Amino acid sequence: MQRVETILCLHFAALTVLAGLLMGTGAYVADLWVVAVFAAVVSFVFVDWLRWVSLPMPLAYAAMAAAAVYCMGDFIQQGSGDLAQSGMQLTSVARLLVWVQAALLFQRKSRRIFEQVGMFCLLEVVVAAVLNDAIVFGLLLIPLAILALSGLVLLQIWDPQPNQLRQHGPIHIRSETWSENVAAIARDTPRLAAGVLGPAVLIFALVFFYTLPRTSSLAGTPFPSRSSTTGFSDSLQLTQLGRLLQNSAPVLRIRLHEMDSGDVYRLREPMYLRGQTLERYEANGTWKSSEFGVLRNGSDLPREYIPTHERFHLFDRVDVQVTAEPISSNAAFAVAPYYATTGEPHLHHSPNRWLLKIPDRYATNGRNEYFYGTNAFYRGRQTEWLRFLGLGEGTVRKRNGPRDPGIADLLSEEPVDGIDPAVTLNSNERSILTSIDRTQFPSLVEEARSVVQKMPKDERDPAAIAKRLERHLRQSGGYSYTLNLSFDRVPGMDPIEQFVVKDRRGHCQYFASALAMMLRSQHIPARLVSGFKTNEFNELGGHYTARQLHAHAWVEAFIEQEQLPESVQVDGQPREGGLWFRLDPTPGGATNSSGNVDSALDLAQVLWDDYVVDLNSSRQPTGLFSAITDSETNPYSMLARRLEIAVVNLRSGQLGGGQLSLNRFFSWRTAVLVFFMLAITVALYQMLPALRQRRVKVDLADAAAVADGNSVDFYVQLKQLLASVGLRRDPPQTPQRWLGEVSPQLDCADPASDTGAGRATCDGCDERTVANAFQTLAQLFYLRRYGGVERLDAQQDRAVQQSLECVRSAVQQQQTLSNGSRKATST
Amino acid sequence: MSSKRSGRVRVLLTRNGLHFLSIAVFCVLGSVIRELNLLVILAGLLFGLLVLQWRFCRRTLDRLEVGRTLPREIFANRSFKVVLTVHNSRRLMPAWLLRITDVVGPVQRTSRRVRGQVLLHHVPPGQTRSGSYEAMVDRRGEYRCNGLEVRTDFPFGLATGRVRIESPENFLVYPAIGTLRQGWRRIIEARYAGLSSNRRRAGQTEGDFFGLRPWQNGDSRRWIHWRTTARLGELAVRQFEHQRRDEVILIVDLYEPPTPKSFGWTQPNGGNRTYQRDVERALQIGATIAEMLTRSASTRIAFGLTSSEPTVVASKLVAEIRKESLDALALARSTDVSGDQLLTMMRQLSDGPRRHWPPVVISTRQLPPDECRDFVAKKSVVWIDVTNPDIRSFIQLDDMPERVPSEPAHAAS
Repeated sequence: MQRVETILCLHFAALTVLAGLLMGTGAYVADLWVVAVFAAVVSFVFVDWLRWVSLPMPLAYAAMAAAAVYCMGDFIQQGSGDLAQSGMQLTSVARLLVWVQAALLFQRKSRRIFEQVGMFCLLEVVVAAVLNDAIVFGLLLIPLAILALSGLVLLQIWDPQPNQLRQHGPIHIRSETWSENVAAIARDTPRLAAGVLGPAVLIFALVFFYTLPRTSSLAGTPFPSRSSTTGFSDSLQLTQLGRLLQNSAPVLRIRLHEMDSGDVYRLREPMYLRGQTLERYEANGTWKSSEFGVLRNGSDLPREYIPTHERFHLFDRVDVQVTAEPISSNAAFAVAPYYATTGEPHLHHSPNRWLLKIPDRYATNGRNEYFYGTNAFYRGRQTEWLRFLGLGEGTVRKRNGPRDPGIADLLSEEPVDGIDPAVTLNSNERSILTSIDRTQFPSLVEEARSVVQKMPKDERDPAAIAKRLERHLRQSGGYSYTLNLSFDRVPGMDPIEQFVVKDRRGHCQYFASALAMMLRSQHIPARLVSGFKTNEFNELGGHYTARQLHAHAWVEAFIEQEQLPESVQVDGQPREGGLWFRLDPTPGGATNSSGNVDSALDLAQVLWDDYVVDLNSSRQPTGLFSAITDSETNPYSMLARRLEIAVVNLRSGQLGGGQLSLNRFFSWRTAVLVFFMLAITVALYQMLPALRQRRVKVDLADAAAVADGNSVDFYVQLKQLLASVGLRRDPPQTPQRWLGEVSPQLDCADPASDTGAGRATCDGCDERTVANAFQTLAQLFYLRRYGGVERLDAQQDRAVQQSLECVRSAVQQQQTLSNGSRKATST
Repeated sequence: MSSKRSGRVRVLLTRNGLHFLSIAVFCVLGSVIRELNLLVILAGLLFGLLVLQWRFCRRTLDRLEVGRTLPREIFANRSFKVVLTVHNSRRLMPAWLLRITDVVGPVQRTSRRVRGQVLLHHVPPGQTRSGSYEAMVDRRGEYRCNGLEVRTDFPFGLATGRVRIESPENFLVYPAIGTLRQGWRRIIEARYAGLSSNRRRAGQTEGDFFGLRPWQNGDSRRWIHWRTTARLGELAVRQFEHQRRDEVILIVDLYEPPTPKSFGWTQPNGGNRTYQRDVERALQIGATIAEMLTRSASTRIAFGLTSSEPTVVASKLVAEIRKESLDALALARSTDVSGDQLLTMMRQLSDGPRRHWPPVVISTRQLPPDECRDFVAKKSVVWIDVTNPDIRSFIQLDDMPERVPSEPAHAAS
């Protein structure tokens, strides 16, 4: 029983650790897991195992009360208000649970204490479920559930009280505790719990989860569980110093599918996702966005551009599906030029800047998901040119809102009533985008001028100048990329000027800022664009991932239509109007890092988010159960389709990019695959005969047991009784002969007795009675075993029980005598 | 052994189960209000636990046959075991962690009942397992094991399944028995002196044939087994076992004076404590002697009890006499037994074939009543006065101090 108690203590200590870790992975409460782990480990070692110390109950209650007062005071101070405050209040609750649980753990364990510790663990899991929706929750929940089940079962076995003697009036009763093989029970029943009960509970929970009807189309994330995304903001500061640390936390998951075939669209070059444009440069390295244009609040997404001219189209129609983690702004990340696809009315579009925005009423504190189509790609490359999409002064503005449906036809080449499409910047926009204080950037202006001066005069068109300046910063100018900004700031000097004059190293924002200023110094309108640049493709999930370390800044220069080089063909966009020319002056390799990503873990996070955290009313029909009925979207049909494609590829020699082709003479991948398949086949072949032999052995053992009379339960009991005093049947002996010979060997006489009343001391059983009992048992055994009697009648049953009781008394007497003689011998 | 199949199963939530249910409901409400999917999962897990617990409770207790086996004889102040047996008549599903509770109490509820519990951890399908609890009863009388109750909390302890099995069973607790000393034999032997046969040999003159042994000096030549002697080449003689049997008329006289107040009795229910102790002592001595004498099947005994319900047991098998006499002693109540009644009983028992059997009377009276004195003298009746402290010379009872007098004492005949 002591061993069971130790195992039980270990279970509950581990439960405490896991519950603490569950909460520790949530927001605000990262320090609490330390308290939980410390309390669990120390209490297990010193209270439960070594039993050196324990907290007396009054002291424990006092400690719990103090913790409650402290944490509730913190709770009240947080007040109630927005979600962040509610989150802080919940943190106070979490702190209360952990501290009170710690006080419980330091007490000597009783059944009640174990139950209370378990209940606190459960409450901690509930709090963690509110605060923490990361996949770590799901990963930790599995061992925690198994431990909890095992602990609950063990708690049923554990009985700390010895045999209880009850007395009322003349009756005294001593009840039996668990038998001596409680260790075997303690070993077996948790296995039962984990192997049978655990899966059963899990299946029930899954069915419950996926069949419970959701009422809302938004899966809630009530409290800011994860820190919002950094690396992207509406403004940009060049004043940071020190070493910047890269964060590999995922921000966006982008799924690209060809619109016609539905296949995953793979890129050959990094993809740029626009988050914000920064037009206005203020002193001391600050870039800000500047709203201009007729529709400041945005409009619906434009409809798809459909070319009217008959020629070969140099663009691919791609569906974009973006899943964004919680961020600090309403920006939606766009691959421009984009257009609306079916069923996604939530996004707002800023025509002048090709930016997407999630309206406030649709923004959630949790994960956002949006869809659109784009013509930006052609053969895996994203176009550098983006048609200017502006509205002229003739556009009719509506007082009640910007969402004029006509604006959705901006991409149309046909005239739309009330819409005055602009083809170039107006004067205000141009002045903002060419604004530069040349006194602040003398060296930068001079360097730009010198670079341009080196160009042949006939090649000095804006696009060529922009490209030349980009190349200058990127390759030939002696600039280098670094995240270590540990250099001194020169007083009075603009950070961009310092970057050009002195440091000549920095990250993407410095390069982009310098290029924008150089372009402006050459009277070319330019702006910064911040967003993400990524080419990290998850092979398992079939999606691209943008992490915080993929945050990037680049430049867009405005080129008039007539200044467009003849070699450039802009397709998939309207034919008229100015263009934004994307320039990325940051030296290569800076943003291509994939950040040591584990694709499997990333895919697990995707599945966790899709099928658990974000399950809502709109997603539920595409859940597990509709998988059977919805043949278009369910995973099974997709798997079947993939298999079909794989077979086709195998036949055509394209499986695995040709590596697993049947047409190749040798492929190491094929060789490894074949090797493992052969190994598994051989292992199975080896195991099957072993299984058969084992089965045969088991059958033989069963047959032997039947022949030995093991099918007669009272005979089995009799054999066990006699075996306890070393009396066993020899194989040649028949049961009757054996029992006849056993009877004289059981010495019932008590030498201490002086009654002179014979040898009757075994609770009324003398030698003759014992012999009769053996004879009775033998006769009834033969009757039951060979007499064709399925069950004994009541009288025979009674005789069996009486005889067994008599033999049991004799055996106990024999054991007592043996012990006494052993003690006497040792004395 | 009585065995009955389990009836309707009732499942009730335990304290822990109520806590789980409350948290599960909280999770459902939280998930509904704030659309928190992780709370839905937690609620699913908790409801899953509760549903599984409920199903296990019901299924575990279904189709169980529970029985009780009491010892054949139960004496006061002697512990005994009550065996509870469970047969799992299901084909597939074992039963785990069964708690079988039995309630024991007097038939007439003069005191509270006590629960005995047996714990069985595993009963495989189609098999039987048993366990026992130990009990001891201080006072003789009739008691009852009331209905059995089987409970299980398996697997998680969130709910308790109960099933009651109505199988009441009455049993008698015989008076506490003591230990007879060697003095008891001397009383009987002294009584037998001069009589023809008080402890008779049974069987042939030499006794029953028992076996062969080597010849020793003093052995009769008639005992030599010639065939074996010829085979072994040395003398071998036959061994005989002499069986002797007791013949006794045992009478327990539970006399209660008719006017309690004249003897200082003030209690309404029949006697003061001293007198009740004497009655119980007489019963204990009678039970001790009866129990000892009836151990051997060769004993010939006649039994009489003068009480509120006079009992005579004679001319029966020893086992029947043993049972009926002990049953009578278990339920006996003292009364105002007249001398004539006692005399009638003594004559009845000493009549016919038992006329040579020595009568032994265990009485709460110090001397035989006047009506019986002639008979006592004539028949050399052994009169045992239970109030006489010298009875310790031949018997040791639990409530007696341990002291053995130098001379055996018995009542005069």
